[in-house]
Amino acid sequence: MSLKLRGLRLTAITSEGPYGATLLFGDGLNVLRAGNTSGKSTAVQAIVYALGLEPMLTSKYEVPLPHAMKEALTTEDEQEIAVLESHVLLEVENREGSVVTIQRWVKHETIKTNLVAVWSGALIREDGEGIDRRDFYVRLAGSARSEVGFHDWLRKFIGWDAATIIKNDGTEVPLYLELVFPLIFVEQKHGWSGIQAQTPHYGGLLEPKKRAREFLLALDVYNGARDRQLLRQEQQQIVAAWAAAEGTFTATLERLGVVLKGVPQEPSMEWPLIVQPTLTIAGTEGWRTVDELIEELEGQLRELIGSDIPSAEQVSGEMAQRLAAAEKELNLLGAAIAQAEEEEQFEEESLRALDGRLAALAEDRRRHEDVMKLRRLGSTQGLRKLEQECPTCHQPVPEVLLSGSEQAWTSMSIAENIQFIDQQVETFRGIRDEVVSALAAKRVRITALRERSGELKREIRALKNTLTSASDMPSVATVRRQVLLEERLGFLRRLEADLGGFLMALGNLANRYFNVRRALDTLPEQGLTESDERKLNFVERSFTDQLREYGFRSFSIDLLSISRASYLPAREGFDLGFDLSASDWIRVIWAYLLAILEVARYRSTNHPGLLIFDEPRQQAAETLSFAALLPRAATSARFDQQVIFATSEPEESILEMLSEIPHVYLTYSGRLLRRVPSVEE
Amino acid sequence: MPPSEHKTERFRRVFDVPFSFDERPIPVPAELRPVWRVPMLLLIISHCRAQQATWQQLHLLNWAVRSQRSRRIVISIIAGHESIDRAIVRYEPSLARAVDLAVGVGLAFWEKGRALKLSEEGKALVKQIEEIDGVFIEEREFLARVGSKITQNFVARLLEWRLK
Repeated sequence: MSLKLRGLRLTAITSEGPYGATLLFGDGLNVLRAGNTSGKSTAVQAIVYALGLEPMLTSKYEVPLPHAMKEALTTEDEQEIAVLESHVLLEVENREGSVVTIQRWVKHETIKTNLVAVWSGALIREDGEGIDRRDFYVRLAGSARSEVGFHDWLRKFIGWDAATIIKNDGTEVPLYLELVFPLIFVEQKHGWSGIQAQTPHYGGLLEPKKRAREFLLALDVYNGARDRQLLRQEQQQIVAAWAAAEGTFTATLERLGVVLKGVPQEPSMEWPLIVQPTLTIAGTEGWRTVDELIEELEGQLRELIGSDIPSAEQVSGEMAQRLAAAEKELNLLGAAIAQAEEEEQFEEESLRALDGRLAALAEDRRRHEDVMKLRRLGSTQGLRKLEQECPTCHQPVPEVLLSGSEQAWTSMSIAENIQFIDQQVETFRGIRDEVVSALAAKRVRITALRERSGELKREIRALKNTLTSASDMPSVATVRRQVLLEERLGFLRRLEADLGGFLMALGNLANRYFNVRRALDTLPEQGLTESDERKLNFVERSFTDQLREYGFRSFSIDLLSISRASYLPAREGFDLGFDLSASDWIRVIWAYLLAILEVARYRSTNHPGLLIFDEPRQQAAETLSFAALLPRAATSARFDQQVIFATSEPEESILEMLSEIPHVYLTYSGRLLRRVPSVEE
Repeated sequence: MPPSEHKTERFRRVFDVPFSFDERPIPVPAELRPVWRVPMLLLIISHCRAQQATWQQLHLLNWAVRSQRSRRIVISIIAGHESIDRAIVRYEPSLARAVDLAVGVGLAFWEKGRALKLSEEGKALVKQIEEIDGVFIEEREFLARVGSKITQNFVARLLEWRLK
């Protein structure tokens, strides 16, 4: 048991004073008996209202209680008096023994109907002086999820905090209580038309009714599917994050004339990568790795620092040599750049030509397709004439509109031609892709070469400065060279650091990816676990046993089972439908709901241990006697469970049905709401 | 002897090793196929003022409809964004054959030798085409925008420039 009803009190403050009714519930079977129009359904609806579950009864924003609680009630002596204020109190207890009283107003001058107050004590059975009250809200957008949402509190009270459902878009949201309660509560007017007949319709949820059954029975299979779903989502996030990081980093590098090699575009399961990623820069002689360059430059810097800064005169000879070398390199570089730019232009033109070609091919293909559509859908003679003989000159219509008397070849059919075009498109696309990557590489190279060219120019200027400066001045060129080296080294080392940071980020992602993949692999096969099977077996046995006890007649009970796919009663694998009589449907619903209640006694489920049945209006034809159904429900007393049954059966016959079984009997004569506020056993 | 055997024979005289030619079908662009060209022609006529077209109008629209580029140029010229000399209209011999064919199978006819009009059968075919979704999309869109604006006056101006 995780939700037990202890008492219900309806109160209406009228112009003639307070009116109301109090019902005290006990364990096991509780039978509430009253005449047909005297408000027994009001009591049941009040319970639903107090729990904020009215979406089960009505789709409009109205209070599902009768006139008597909202506007005016009729007294014992048939007088109508106005109702000024009214509310409902519901005292409940949970598994931990915590007792609270829920209060919700029906009519009040200031308090709105979407406020639900929870008193931390028993206001009906006891006095309730000085106990706390907390206010919550229902039926506001998001009240199922926010802190002040009443259902959020109720969920925790019942012990259903972990109840979730997956939406069609793959996200997970809390499971709405009004989706589960149709398995606990069956209302008079529409509740008996099918199993879970009063489930409200919410869009975007993945199989809500099935999920409700799964949840109530606490089947493991949901967790498996849910876990798989969440893992897949995480996997997608990791892949996206990886691609974004790789894309951004590579783009930044390209702008600096640097190329990153060895990092895959998709997450890798192995980390660190077998082949270490490297950064390469284009130089005059070709591509060099950043590592190599750093080593080389560090060597040069060491040399430079080791020796003192020479004076201009001392170094003039060396300087002159170096100047000559730098100028030569700059020349070569100039030629290299010019050629690289020419190649770049060539590739760009190729690209333009290819795009033009592809566009023309696309257009031609579309036109061929148009002909196919015309042939298929337009069937005038006119079109067909174009493919046969010309009625005027009696010559075969040429296949091609070229001049020349005879066609010395066969032309392709439309279908063949389309195929041909597709092949061409594939080929040219392939070529285009290559051109695109060649172009990208060339551009990166040009950037690097231009940078080097700039460096060289600065060095040459400095050298010339030194050579023309006063002889005992320190060699500007040498100083400059050292600064340049340090700058370049700084740049390269920053690149390395960035690479390190980038790889670390990827490493984290790779780790997560590995874990997610492994988790996915180790998830058990989708399907019912052994424990699930045992529960469903039990439900099946209890269900069929009950139907035998109740006198099910529509067809042989041997044909019934509980579907392992839908967890619903099925006849030879098919959902139950029109082949059942109305009274047999009642037996089925009773037996099914009770079977789930029963399995909760022996196995761990999410059932709150409570069922509420409001007797169906007797349809024409068959009258169903609940005599066989009540004894089974009465067994709930032994297991700390409750079944509340509201009926308008004549007192004599109901007392006879109850004579041999343990029960709590609640009855009243006349109207439910009266001046004396208590209805006792 | 059929063309393929003829070729084989000639080459056999040059080389004395046995070989043969296999005839493979050759791709033909859609715009040279009567089954595409004639309906296109009929569509052009149906979009002209009074549903009839002179040779000049036909040549211009036939050229215009060929590619995305030419369509764009004509639309720009009509909107006044570009000057008239941007359009370099090419005369196409295959158009003449297409027209002959259309007339030959009875889908169009020459009125007073000046203007090409649609026959009843031609009109029916055009109606059929327009009812089908997704054929001649680009071409129909273009003609709808531009067709009636290609008056004889306009065409004369455009082609005149070339002669100057």
